Amino acid sequence: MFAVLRVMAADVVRCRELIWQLFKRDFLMQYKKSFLGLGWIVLAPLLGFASWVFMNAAGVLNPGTMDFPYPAFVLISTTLWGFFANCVTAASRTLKAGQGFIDQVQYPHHTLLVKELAQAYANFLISFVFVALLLICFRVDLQVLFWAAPLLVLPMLAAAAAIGLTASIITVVAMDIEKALGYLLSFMMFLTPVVYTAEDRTGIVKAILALNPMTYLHGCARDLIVFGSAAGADMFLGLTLAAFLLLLLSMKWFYVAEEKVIEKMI
Amino acid sequence: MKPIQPAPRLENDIVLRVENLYKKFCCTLRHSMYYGMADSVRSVLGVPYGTDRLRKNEFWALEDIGFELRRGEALGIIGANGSGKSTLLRLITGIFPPDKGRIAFAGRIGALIAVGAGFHPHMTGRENIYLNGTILGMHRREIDEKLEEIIAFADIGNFLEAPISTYSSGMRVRLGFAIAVHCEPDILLVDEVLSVGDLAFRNKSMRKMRDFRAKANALIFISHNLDQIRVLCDRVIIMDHGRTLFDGDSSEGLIRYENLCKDMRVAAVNRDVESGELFRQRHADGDRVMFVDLGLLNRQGERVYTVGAFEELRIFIDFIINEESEEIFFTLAVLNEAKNIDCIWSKSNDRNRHSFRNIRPGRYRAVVTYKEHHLGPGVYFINYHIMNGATGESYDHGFTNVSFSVKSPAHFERGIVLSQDSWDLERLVP
Repeated sequence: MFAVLRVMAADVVRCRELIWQLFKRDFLMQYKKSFLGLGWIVLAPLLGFASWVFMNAAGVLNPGTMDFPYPAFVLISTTLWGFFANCVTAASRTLKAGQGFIDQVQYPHHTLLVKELAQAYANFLISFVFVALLLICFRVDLQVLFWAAPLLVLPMLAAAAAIGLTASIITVVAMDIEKALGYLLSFMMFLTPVVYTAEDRTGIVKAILALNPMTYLHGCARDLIVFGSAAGADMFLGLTLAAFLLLLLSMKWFYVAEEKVIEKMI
Repeated sequence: MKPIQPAPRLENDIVLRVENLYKKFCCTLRHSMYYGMADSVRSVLGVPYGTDRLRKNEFWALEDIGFELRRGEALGIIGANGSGKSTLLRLITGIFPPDKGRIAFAGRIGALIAVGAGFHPHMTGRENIYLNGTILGMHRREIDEKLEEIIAFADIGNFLEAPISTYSSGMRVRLGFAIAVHCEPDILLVDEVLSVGDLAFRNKSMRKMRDFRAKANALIFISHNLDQIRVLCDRVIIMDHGRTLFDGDSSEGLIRYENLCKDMRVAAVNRDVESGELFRQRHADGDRVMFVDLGLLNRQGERVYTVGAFEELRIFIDFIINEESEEIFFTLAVLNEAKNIDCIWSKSNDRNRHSFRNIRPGRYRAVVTYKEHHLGPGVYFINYHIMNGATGESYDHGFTNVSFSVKSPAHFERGIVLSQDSWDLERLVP
């Protein structure tokens, strides 16, 4: 297991120029033929945020009680969830990202995971800076831990990469998982306290939220960023460890299994 | 191939050794999905699975392939589509893992399988040189050093700073090829990409390949262009249905391959004939005279489908006459398949030499013999026309699928006519 991981890490270092070139190609070129360009990175979550604020104002949504402006809460929370969802999708594209040349050139395919995750992380950082500027403009009281957001999202990144990497192998063989993943992420968002808080929930909803690991990985990270403290921090730490362990296992699975499925890409 | 696997050692001048190589694929999507899932799960769990046997709907794309390549050697791989050439290249490059067997190599392998891998249409030519060069395994410093050379070789002029979406398809492949040939690996694998660009660029590419060989690098070259193989390679492997049919000297191999192609084509056409598709077109007037069969005979009167260059050519036609005919007049035409040209138009009613009069009912065979034919190597169809010589009425006229091949002579020939020739070179102006 560790021999495989060592080889993978060495490959990433060896292929850093390839990762950079592909990152540059896909990150900078993704909006090149667009008037708004990189503005889409902040516009997309803003549109989502606007819809949640509207639903809250219309009384459709019951987000629970909190000592924080709801629009700011939902903006941060959806940005974090968006990062998680983007990471899952990006990691699930690990093999497909190289479809144009994967059957023509030999290179370590796990380097594409790094490129895909770097792209998702860069998108998040841009969104985060924008959110910070917006909150400062509206004089929202920000906690010190708010600035630790780029670190606090790393457990989510690990969990998302593990899920996505596993899916990327299955997707090559059967497309079902790719289709299912989009629906699952939307569904999971409602099972996770993203646009509402976990407190004040009762019955089956409370039980589901308690069992859902994302309640802690996303919820605790968000609460630390928004409120400066979070309930269930022990679960957060435990799940962080589990997420990184899962990532290592999925990397091993990817390394061993990808060569069995690569020929199915043609 | 995974780098944690140990590589076997190679002797001094051997740069590539392929041993008992097998690769299988699945021909149905559903089974392919199932096997893909099952194999990946088994490999993770460390459960062995039968890579050495075929499961339902699997077939061997490569079967027991083995060869060695020495420093400075150029090996041509030829074979019909689907014979396994590109699969072999992908296994050597490490894109696909083998199911059985081993590949060992010394040095850096570069593959020119498709030019312009990973090109982004919105990036400039210069940006794409760095992108594509990195994908092909070059470092930034290496690209920096070769940049001017690549630009000069691609000859894309002022378009270098323009997005490649504005390039013509020719410019795009020229740029892709220029990047790839400047990678300069120890072993270069080239898969059918030397036919890109205009004549001047193709000549430049061929010169580059020769320079590459002159530096004592090894070359594996796949192409359907036999002239390119002849010029570049001193050794040839012929592949057929995943197996090696021939491995040896290129001039011998190329003639063998040409003959093999023709035999395969004739066999395919004759399979159509056997399955009932005898005619491409037929016009028959009643059953007074009925066509039965036609084809080629050898000296012993046995049916054959192949004739050697400059050999005797005997074509027969069988027919049945149901009513007595005053005079039978028939023609046999030999048509070159590739060029769609009538090569022989045999008229049997040359009354000075042959005439067939007052033919009573019965089954007949007419044979026309050319003592030494001059048909060029290729595949030929035979057409016929049976008429009443006295009245000019047409009895039966058919464009058939019956075919035969003319084998290549010992030296390489092109064209539809073979001739015994000699050449002289004379200096006219000092």
